[in-house]
Amino acid sequence: MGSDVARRLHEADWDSLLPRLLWYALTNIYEPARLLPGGRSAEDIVQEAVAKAFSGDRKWDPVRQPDLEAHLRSTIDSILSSKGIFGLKEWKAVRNVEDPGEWESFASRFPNLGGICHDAEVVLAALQESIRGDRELSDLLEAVLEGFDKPREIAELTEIPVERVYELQRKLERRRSEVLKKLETTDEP
Amino acid sequence: MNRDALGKWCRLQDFLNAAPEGANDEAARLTAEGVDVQGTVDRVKEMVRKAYQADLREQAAREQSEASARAQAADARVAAMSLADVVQMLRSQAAALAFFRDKSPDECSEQDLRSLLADIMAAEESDAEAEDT
Repeated sequence: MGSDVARRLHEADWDSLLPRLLWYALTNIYEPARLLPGGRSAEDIVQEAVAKAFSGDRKWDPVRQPDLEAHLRSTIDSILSSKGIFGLKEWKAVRNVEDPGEWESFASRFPNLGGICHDAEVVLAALQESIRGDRELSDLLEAVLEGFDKPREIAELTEIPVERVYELQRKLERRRSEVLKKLETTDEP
Repeated sequence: MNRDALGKWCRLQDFLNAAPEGANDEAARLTAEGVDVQGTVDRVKEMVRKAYQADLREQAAREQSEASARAQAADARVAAMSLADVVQMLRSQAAALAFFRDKSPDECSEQDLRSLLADIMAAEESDAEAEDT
């Protein structure tokens, strides 16, 4: 490794860079489980990406790519793909697929897709159960599951003020996290 | 295979991942998701520090090895020269002129003269390499 690369990595502002990279990794993983195949987590993926910047096939070259964060994001993408993790890229690839043949072709490249679909079903059922009785949150979740994704559209549909939709968005995020934690301790999904 | 459930789950992910306008609080949201942010920062910093130190050690060892090779090559070249050529070359070296300010080449042993020239040649080569990089 060139010492200039080592020095630049050593001097990087990791305190601000890592939360952004962790967020990037977390929001690019669409598997309905907190732990990924092999027991990995978003933290492991980010740590592996940084390790690869020093050596290996994803070594950072500041001349070709001066932006370290962009380089590490690209490495995270590469790690997620190479480990067969269902991520944003895979979701974008299948979200509009109607043709069964095309779906089968995708499924053949994702041996665990059946398990991922099953986990999604379990987690969604657990989430719906956990918010039963909370009318606003249930209405919000149903709207999202129906395909509404803009807070203003949801506000119009559910007659919940848009500011409240934003609050509920965070509340639902916390509920999702709680449900995933709970399922993790019970080995489901 | 329940494709519908997967699609719904992914739509929910899209919705929840979209940060509300003006929000820039990844660390807080990550912590709420159970992500060990500070632990990751500490581990990565430690990993980077160790890799940097290893790199510095590697570089120092490499430089030492190169300096040793340069010195050996200069010794060999000087050993192949006649004493008259050694003295002749030393007369044209600024470093040697400073060395001989208070004494003449005649006061030094042949070994001193050869060592001095070899040191000067190795140093010049090192400077030239540094300029090239």
